[in-house]
Amino acid sequence: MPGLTAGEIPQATEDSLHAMSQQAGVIFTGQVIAVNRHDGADGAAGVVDIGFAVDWAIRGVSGATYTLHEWAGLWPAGEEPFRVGQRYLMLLHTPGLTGLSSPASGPDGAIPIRAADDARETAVVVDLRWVATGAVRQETFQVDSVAHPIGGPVVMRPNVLVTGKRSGSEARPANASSAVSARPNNTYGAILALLRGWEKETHATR
Amino acid sequence: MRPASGCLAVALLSVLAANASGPRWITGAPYFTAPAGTPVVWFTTHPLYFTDPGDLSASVNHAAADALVAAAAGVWNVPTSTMTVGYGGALAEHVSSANAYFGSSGPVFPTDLQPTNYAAKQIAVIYDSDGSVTDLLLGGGASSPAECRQNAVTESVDSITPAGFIQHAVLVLNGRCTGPAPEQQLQMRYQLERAFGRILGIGWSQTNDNVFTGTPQPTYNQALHWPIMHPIDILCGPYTYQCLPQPFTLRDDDVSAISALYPTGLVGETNGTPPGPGKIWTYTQASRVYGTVTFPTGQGMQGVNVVVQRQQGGWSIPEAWFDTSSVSGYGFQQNAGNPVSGTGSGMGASMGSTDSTLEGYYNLGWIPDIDPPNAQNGAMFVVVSTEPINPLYIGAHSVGPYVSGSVAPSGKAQSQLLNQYALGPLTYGGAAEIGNFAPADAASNCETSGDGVESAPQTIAASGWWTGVLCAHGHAAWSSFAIQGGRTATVEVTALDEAGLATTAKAMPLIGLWNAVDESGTLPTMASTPSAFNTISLGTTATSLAATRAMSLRFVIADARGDGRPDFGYRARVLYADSVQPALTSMNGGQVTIHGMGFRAGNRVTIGGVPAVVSGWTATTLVIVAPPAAAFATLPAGPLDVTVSDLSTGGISRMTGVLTYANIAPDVMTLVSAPSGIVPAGLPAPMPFAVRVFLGDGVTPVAGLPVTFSASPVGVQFEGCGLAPCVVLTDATGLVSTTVTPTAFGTFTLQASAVGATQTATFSAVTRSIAAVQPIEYVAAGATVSWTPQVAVTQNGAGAVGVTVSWSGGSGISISPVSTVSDALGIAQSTGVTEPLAAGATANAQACAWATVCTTVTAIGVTPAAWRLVVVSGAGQSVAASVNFAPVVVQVTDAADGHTVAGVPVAIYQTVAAVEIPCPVRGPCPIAPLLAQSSSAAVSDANGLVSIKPKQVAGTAEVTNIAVAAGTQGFVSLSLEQTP
Repeated sequence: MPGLTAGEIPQATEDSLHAMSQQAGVIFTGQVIAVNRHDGADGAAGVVDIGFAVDWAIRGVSGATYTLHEWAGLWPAGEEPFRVGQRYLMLLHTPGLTGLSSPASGPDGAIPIRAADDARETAVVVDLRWVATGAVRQETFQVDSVAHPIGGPVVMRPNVLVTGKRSGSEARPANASSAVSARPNNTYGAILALLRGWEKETHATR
Repeated sequence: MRPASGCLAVALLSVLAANASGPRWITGAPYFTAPAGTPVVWFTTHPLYFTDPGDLSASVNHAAADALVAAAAGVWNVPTSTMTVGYGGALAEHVSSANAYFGSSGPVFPTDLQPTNYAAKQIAVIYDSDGSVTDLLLGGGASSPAECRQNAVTESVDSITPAGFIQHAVLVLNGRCTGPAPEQQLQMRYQLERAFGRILGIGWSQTNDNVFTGTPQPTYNQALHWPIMHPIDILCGPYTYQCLPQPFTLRDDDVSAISALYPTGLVGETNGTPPGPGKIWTYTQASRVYGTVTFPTGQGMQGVNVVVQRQQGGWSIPEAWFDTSSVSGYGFQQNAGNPVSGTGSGMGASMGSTDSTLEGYYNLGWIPDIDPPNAQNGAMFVVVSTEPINPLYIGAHSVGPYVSGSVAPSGKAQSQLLNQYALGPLTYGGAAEIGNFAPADAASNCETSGDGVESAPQTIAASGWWTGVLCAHGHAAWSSFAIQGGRTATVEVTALDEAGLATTAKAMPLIGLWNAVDESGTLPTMASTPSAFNTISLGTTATSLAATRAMSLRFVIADARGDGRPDFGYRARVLYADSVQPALTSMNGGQVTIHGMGFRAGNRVTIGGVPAVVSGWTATTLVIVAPPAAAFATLPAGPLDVTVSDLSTGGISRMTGVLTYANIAPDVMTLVSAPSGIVPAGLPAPMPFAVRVFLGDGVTPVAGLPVTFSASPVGVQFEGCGLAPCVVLTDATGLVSTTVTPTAFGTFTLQASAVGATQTATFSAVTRSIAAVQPIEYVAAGATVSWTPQVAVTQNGAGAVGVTVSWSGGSGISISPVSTVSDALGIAQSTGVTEPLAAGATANAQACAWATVCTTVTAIGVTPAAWRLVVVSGAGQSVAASVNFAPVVVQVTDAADGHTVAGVPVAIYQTVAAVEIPCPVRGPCPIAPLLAQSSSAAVSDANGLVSIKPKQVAGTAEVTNIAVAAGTQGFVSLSLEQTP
């Protein structure tokens, strides 16, 4: 598949991943082995070093480990983007002169690698759900059929618990788009193959 | 520096109100000194932003950029909130890579942008005209126009005090995301609008989430009430702001958030300091709904999204969209820490209160009334509903208190109409509604009394498998088990949902292990999993450990967030191979039993890396067949490692150097029984094929050993397998046995083989049959009939000569002799005598060859009314006077079906008359003289035949008339002629 040109909008999850890979200078899969936060001093904002054990290096990585230096501003209170033991497909910006970098396409460039949702399987998948949100979709709105107020068939029982689905009678057309639909084969091997294929194309066109 | 006086008032309001429609941060111990559970807010309600003095880009000069920022910030200045974000002036310098650099501990901005300058400049807005600042912070290429969806605006709140106040923030506007197209600036304005919301302390919100998911297809009004502070944008074209209507107008949910964080006054307050210019009392035309979501146990259920629909006074249906939302337990502790990774002390580990009343508490803190005060169309009611939070809303996109991983609510979603009170504006005495949810179908098991504690861990189940629940908040389950030196083990914990299915949407189990003698209160010393779900198996966390010496281990299972709820079920397992028996095996291999725990079907065993056949298992034993030494690349020179692995989880347990191959006596196999001689095909052989296996000592039985039964040539079935060869395991006495059934004739060699031993046996199979020549004999009812039953005996398809046939009569029939021998054609016969049978009655006799191959002959009584006579031969004779008549033969048959009938009494009448003299011309004809007459009786033979000798007068012409009668309707007559 050819890469996306500037300004082109990803049409599907695979396109979105491809676009992200085009923005990334560093691509690898690996496991977080260390997280070290360095508070800022003398006016500096601080950095966080995230160490990875590299499983597969695809672009911009040599060696069995890789350390991502992130601006501490990406670690707001309460959020820990990375924890030791987690596995990711990392698509990172090329570290600048300062050595700082971050995932391409914001946090979506750190793509979790996890067990398949089906407990009967033991496959490892790349969780592309967030990547999928980077694909364009047709946004149309259902027409309100009543002027106001517009309501579904809510059961009118005072202070009585009504279990089950909440009110609303909207039915979604079968062909309607979804933010998380049209997922490609997201097994670990399939995604690695995709990325390697794109990497070869990139080299070939250079 | 002390906060400005205004901040104290804000803090007081926040503590008392303790409400929010999505605060980004909540205070808690130990970092925060403010009362726990308070939303983190700006230290002043009038923070000022200062803009970069440079241009934003070639297309957006400084003035235009300032206008863009003012528009984005101004959105948040709403009448019902005391928050006013204002322009404070310009920064001291245009910020770029020329003056922002990487210092000894991270990026350094010019002095006036630094957090220490917060009193003078609270919010710094950088116009990153060439993208160099964005690239400095985020990496090379981050400022690329291709990344404008994410990196057009970078926000950072870089100073939050322990008192719970935001002091300083930085906004970086990437000039490379602007350009000649006006839409580019509008897109940046939209993103900056959202970024301002973030730095003001507002969290992401989930309201009308179908606008994001697309399911069901959203309505325009739902999009119009999709919060600006939605977690993830939807992409419908080049600019995301175009994907929603009125993108520069806050939704009720956004106004609720900013109003709840920064109210102009307390609920119902009208006598305090009046709101400033452009402001009104927060609840001038708004009310609130609050309540709890709880488990049946009473514990609060955290992380449930509660959404509200308004129902205008006088209407019976609510609006078809959700107006605002709140997440239950938003003020409760987010991360209590755990014994595995410890308890943090930083800001991130200090979010939320430990007050259990807040665990399921939600607060729809500001719901605008549809009607103006004192509206005449009646009171506004609301419908509140629960829903799960979208699993994508975690981490940087998190909604509510579960930041690191979503938790699915327990029980079904619920809705309730709240109409006890009219939801009038609270400022004017209106009432707030309380809506409590306690789904009865939610998990209700909080029984953890079987769990140990750190000082007294509970010994795990002997099987190595058990289940439990992490309940309540902060609960951890402590256990112990012993391990030998030179062993590894794997501890696995799988999170379960209410249905007992593996899940990642409930507990996030962590595991930590210590030597039992290690001091309490320390972090794990032997092994641990710092993050959950680190295996290839869904919902499963695992850690492996290695012991160099025998020890007792203490381990803990805890939620990564320190959480605990009735729906945090788990299944735990210790996969541990402890020992092998025997420790020596022959060079031919042999049976070995592994003792341990946590085993299950499908476990794989290797010996020195070479797979072994697993022939049996229980949770505590694995019976394997060690491969012969020849299976190894090099002959094993010393004790080998034995490894048990579970491919479905990746769990492994290894025993180092526990099994040795040696020239010891191989297993011994003895023959217990086997088919022999000649066996009829198609029938199980009388003797089973049975062998017994012992160890080389010849005494110790080998149990569970697979023994392979085979036959040559093919044509034998083994019991339980159907087709040969067949593998059967030895029992506790070493015995293995199978019934053998030949399916064809021939000579077969059977073999039983196991590692190092075989036994063989030979037998012949034949096909044998016997059949009555005449299976049914029809006899005259009431008569005693003697007849000769015959049988044909065959073997392997040919007549069997000299085979003894045993005869036996039954009721109504006797056979003699009872033993006869088949002749050269394979026919054997005897004599049967039937006693008088009633009409239709039967009597049976049996003939058997080779004792077991039998057939039956039957006699059936035929009623006299059914007897019929037919002439078989001798009719129509005309002979010369000197020649004798041939006998006349008649046969008795059954009228029903023509069968011949034996033993029938027949009456015979004969007359002999002279040949008639011709009549004269006149006078009477002369009567032919009767020369002779007679009557006689006969009995039909076994074939129903009766032979009659015709009467005859010698030397004269005569006619012999014969009439024969049998029974009531059997009759035949004929005439014979003798000429002169």
